[in-house]
Amino acid sequence: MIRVCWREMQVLKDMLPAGCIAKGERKRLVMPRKHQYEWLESLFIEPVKSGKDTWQLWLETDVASYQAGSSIFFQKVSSMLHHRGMMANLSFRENLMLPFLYQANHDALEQAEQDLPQVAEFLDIKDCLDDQASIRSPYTHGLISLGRCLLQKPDIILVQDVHVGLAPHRMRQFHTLFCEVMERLQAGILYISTSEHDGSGMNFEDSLELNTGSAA
Amino acid sequence: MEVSQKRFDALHGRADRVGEISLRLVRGLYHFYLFMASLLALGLRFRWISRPAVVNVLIRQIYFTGVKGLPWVLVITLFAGVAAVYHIVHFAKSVGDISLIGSLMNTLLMQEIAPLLVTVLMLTRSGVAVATEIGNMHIRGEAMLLKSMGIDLDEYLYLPRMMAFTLCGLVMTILFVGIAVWVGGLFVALNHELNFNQFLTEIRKGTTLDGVLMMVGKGAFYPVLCCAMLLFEGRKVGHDPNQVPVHATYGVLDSLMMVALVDVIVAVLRGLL
Repeated sequence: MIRVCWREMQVLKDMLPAGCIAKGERKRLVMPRKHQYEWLESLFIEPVKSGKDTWQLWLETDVASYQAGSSIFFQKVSSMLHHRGMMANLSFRENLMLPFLYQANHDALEQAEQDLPQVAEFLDIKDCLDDQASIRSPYTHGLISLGRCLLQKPDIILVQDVHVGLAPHRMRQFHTLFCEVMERLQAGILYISTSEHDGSGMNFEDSLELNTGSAA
Repeated sequence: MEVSQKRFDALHGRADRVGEISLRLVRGLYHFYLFMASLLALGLRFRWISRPAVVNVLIRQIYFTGVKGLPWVLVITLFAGVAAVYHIVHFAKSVGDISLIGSLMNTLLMQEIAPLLVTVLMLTRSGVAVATEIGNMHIRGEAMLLKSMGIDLDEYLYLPRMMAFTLCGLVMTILFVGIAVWVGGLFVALNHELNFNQFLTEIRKGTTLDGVLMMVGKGAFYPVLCCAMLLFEGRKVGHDPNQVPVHATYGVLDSLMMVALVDVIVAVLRGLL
């Protein structure tokens, strides 16, 4: 059993209900964009050495629990952020390989290097792998995020509104790729969106909404 | 009575403002100290060596700051460094004591002119770029992206830039002194001011270990200070693009102030000791 859990917590001035997402599940969290960033910030912070009772968000496995922000957490949980998938000053290749080049796990790095050509082929970015990312469309940001998920093979993926803001002709293309990747990985998906009409076309088992006075 | 009360209130208001500004300054310096100390601690932990992503950034930064900035240092050295050497020799000859050449070179060129000029040069060429680049990364949301991959911003973004500044600053300072002495000496010899061998002998006599250590210390520490200040300002940009030029300007000005302040403190301390 692998799952990510979070406590009931205050996000800005509103309360986010407690919840969890297990591998293979598909759930959605609906909250305004400002709240999303606030919540994600708290998720990615460096772990401080404290008891499990004080953790706000954590990863549970059969063996142990890991606080959000720990290196094991990031090996098992991957993210696809809204319009933020690439560093502008790196090439496509470096962007895809970045977490592996940083973590210094040689086995994972070798595996990712082996898988990279197939992933690039699948995403149709084989010819531009060494181009500098620079400023790209939301579609390309989404593609690179998908590529990283394919290389990392996480158990849980946090997806933040990646279907919003795509050019109409790219929408269907991205949707097909996204569904295929999610099907292949069989990971748990926590879809964070500003609206129930998120454009993902996915069937969610549960949809949690932030208790906020304003409309999402 | 009423007039004196108003004057009293105005005085109080001014005192409040002065206190507020002082507190803000102290708070800012404290946060800057914490930021710099955390980067230094991270650097000394040497975990970055095993991370290819961090080493890649370091190599790029060395290329950008050191290799690409080298022609500018050479040009400035040829103009300012050689002129300084020429004037020192000319002054020593005019007062009829050529033994002054060595000691003036040691105190002025090596310990003051070289580290300060190289720092100002790095600040104007690469410093603004560093502050702007970091600011733009925050605006594009790349900081959040890095965090989402479990990448420590201090280790990946800031530390390699600071290390590159340190290394390049030190190398450029040594280059500055070397080129200024050799080319300046040849220039002096060509102008029949002084024999080249005699010039080198005077330099050797006047150079002290203390002076060399001070040059190395300043040549490495001033760029560290500047880079840390630029990074500190760059990461304050947040998500507002209008803040990029504001913080880039603050970064450069604060760096200059900090370097000038440290230079004065070092001079005073050396005078006292």
